[in-house]
Amino acid sequence: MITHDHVLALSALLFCAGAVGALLRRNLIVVLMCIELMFAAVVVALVGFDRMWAARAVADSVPMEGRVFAMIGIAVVAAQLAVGLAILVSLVRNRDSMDIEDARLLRW
Amino acid sequence: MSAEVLLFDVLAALAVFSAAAMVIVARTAVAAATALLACLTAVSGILVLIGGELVGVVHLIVHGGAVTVLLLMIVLLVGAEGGRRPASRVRDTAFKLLGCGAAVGIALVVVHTAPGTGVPVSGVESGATIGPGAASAAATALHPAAALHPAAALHPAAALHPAAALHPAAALDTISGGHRAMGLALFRSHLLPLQVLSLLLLSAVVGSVALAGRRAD
Amino acid sequence: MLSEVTSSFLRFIPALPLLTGVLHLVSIGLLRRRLSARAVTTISSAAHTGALLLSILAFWELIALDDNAALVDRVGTWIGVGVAPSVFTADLAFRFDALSAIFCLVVAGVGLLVQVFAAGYMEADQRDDRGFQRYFGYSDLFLASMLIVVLADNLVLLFLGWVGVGIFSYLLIGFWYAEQVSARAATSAFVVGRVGDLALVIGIVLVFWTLAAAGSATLRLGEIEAALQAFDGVSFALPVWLGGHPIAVAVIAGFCFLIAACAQAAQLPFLLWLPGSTAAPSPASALVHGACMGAAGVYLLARLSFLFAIAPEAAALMAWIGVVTALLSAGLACVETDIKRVLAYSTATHQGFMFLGVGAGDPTAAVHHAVSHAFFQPVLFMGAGVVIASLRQEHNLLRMGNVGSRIHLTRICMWIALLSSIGVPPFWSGYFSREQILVAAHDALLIPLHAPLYVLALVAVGLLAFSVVRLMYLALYGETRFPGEIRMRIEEPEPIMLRPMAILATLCVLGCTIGLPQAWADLFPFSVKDSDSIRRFLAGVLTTSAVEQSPSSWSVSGQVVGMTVLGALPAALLYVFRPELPQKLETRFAWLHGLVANRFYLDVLFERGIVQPMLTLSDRVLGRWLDQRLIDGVVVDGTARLLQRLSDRVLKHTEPGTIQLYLALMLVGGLAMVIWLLRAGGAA
Repeated sequence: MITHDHVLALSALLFCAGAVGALLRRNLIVVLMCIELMFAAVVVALVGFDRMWAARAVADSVPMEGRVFAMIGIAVVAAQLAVGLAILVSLVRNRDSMDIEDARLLRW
Repeated sequence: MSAEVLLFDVLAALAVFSAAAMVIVARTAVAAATALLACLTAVSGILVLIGGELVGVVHLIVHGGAVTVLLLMIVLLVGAEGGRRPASRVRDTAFKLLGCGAAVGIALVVVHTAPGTGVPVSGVESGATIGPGAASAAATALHPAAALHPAAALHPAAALHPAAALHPAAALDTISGGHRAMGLALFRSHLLPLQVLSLLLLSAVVGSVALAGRRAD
Repeated sequence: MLSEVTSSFLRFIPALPLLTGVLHLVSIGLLRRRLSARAVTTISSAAHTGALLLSILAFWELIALDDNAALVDRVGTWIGVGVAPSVFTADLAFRFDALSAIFCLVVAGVGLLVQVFAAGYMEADQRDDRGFQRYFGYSDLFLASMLIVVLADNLVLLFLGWVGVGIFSYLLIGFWYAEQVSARAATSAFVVGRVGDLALVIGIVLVFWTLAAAGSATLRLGEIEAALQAFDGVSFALPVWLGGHPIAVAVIAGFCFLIAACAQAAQLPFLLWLPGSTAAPSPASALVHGACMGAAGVYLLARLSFLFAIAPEAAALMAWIGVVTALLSAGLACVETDIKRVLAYSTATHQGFMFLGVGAGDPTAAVHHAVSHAFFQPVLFMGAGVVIASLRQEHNLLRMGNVGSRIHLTRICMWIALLSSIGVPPFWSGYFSREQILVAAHDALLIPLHAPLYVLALVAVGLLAFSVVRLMYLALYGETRFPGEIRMRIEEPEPIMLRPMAILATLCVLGCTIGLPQAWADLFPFSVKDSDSIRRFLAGVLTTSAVEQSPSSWSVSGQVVGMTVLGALPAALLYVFRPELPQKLETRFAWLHGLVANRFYLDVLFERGIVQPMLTLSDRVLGRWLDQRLIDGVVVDGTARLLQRLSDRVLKHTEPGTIQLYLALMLVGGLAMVIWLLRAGGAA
């Protein structure tokens, strides 16, 4: 049977993989993809938690809270990625580099 | 091992392996994007499997489809080279590894403290596919996490379908995969966040155009 | 314990002028819309008339009650702190007993007359377009503060009025703020007043602590006297380096109140703000110096006479301060050439006599003298104002002369006031009050060196007579010492200015009836019983510790009259019959003249002794060292420099610009947050 342990473990693995990639890869686009991956992990966890707390949520008259949250998150991340990619485009245009180490405008 | 568990294991393995491939193996952005596509598709499947049908479908459409395509188009647009520089400084690498450790830590803490250990995921088509109801109920009652499920503790038999007994929306949830309930939740109780969200998407579109569009000069 | 009767209209006595004053200031200050002169005068005089009528009404009710009764109007609790039993409340409450009644009537009545005079005077003397209404705004509020002082039911409310008097006298003195002299004079008056305020606060706190320690925490005037035995045996020990003797708290509190009253009434350590304050418009001088400000000081002392009765050291010091001030300022008045300063010095002299009266243990005489003074001194100031205005703002006596022949009526009023001021018996009000003060001084055996005290007071009487008669002759008689074309334009003032002067001059004459000593009344062919009505009226309120007045004070009377004549006659002789003599005497006794003309070098003493060290301290120590080096250099700049270095050496490395490092830090923070949240949730 599928237990919550399984779902959460999957989510944790995906999250860790995304985080490691976002931290260690140097191609800007790949970093964005890794962030996307971290987010997918979060969605999995949200849906899992939603199922886990379903009884309580129904008792509190807030059913489907976790799934609604996941939906909203999907949209937010889509928007975030669109903006992120736009920033990436203009960055590459100006700096002519996809390396994340070159994008250090915030440096003192 | 039922078919569902088998399916879950396959999809989970596909997701994890393609994620690992994307992070570790993929040399080019296109390869990474392909791996990501596989991973996201698998994740959508898992979402459907554990009861978030609508979420899974939307996830597949938006992320597995649109976003991945967008990523690929950007790769085509700006080229995929880069990330071939000499390794960064040792201190930076140490910092990054520290961040990796933190991420793993977060995952471990969440998994470890989550109260659902050993509890089957409810809400898949019917209780029978998950296992004998009595066994599940016994597990629920014995587990310390049951304290957090007062309803479940009080109605062991209803633990699998507590919603069905308690709430009409939840009844719909079990009957039709939750689409109607989801729609009601989104467009009734969460209408305002939804509208704000549409504003956010609009501003993201405008912002992307403003940022990426070529200047007149 | 005094019996108290509730009366609900007392609050309107100060409230009426307060309202109109606020109205005037709001009109010109906030709305920027000036009312017409007629409207301003109508509003203000209506308010003052109302206050006066209410005072008379209250007076009427008061004399219908028993002796020692008081009307009390409790509006509400103003300050209430603490929990029982150590609770302190100060009510917004007004009290109308015999002493308040006298001062309230005088302030309201004289205030009304002076305001009417000012309506004529300020109309002719508007230097800027908002001056007229501004004057009435300030002076209404001044009178309201003064009424609060004399009507206050507790010391805290009295302090409120006291500060108001200080503020609005400051504004009145600096009324022509564009002139540097006025501005400086106002500032110095203000600073001196704040010293007095501080002393008053300390005194109030001492009284409160002492009473609270004895279990009756109150500041109500009626209750303080009842709880007076709380002061018995309570004392502070002096520091060892001062000898370590204990000093009774009553004495210390007495000193504090004395300092406050000195600052308000321009007594000795604080005498020197007085001459500058004549920069105020003449009606304001009449109001501030003639009727009110000194009276506030004397009121405080008389009100607390029970305290001074158990603090003989403070009383003795008060008497000596009064005498020395009277002597010095009378001497200064003899050589001063600014007409209004002469009058200001004579005010200080009279207030010195009042201090002497309270200090010598006869506050009734002092109160009586304050009343007389409030009748005659405004007339003199108003007359001086008329003279100054008709000579186009000429203040110098040496450039006046023979003005009187053009302004007969003013001259008559001034003569009456003058005779009252120098105390010519028998029918001028100023005489009897001062005679009684001197009798008290003569009999004040408790005061150390009381014999020289009395002699010096007599000398002050003579000098005062000399100086005021001199002023009169120099200004109104003799030869013309100003351009002839001005002379043709000198005219008797308008009736609106003349009538208040005439009324006050009449009061100078009639005023003697309120306090005629029985010894004099017995001289009348018809029998007058209980002639000294003010003394009987005040008997329940004031604590008289003087030796019971001897029936035959005739020797004192003779000495006082003799000194007055001795002072007045030479003045007439010198300035009328031998006008060249003063010049000769001046050159002959150049050292003495120089000494007096330079104000006994008190200015220099203050400048060198207090002002310069203060300035040096402020500039060198406080300014350069404390402010610039320590505060600016170390605290402000040092903090900035520290942060700058910290940022440069340490903090900037947390901003490497590398996105992945930010992400790493974010994850570390997220880990911490998750742990903390889950732990907190688990604990709950």
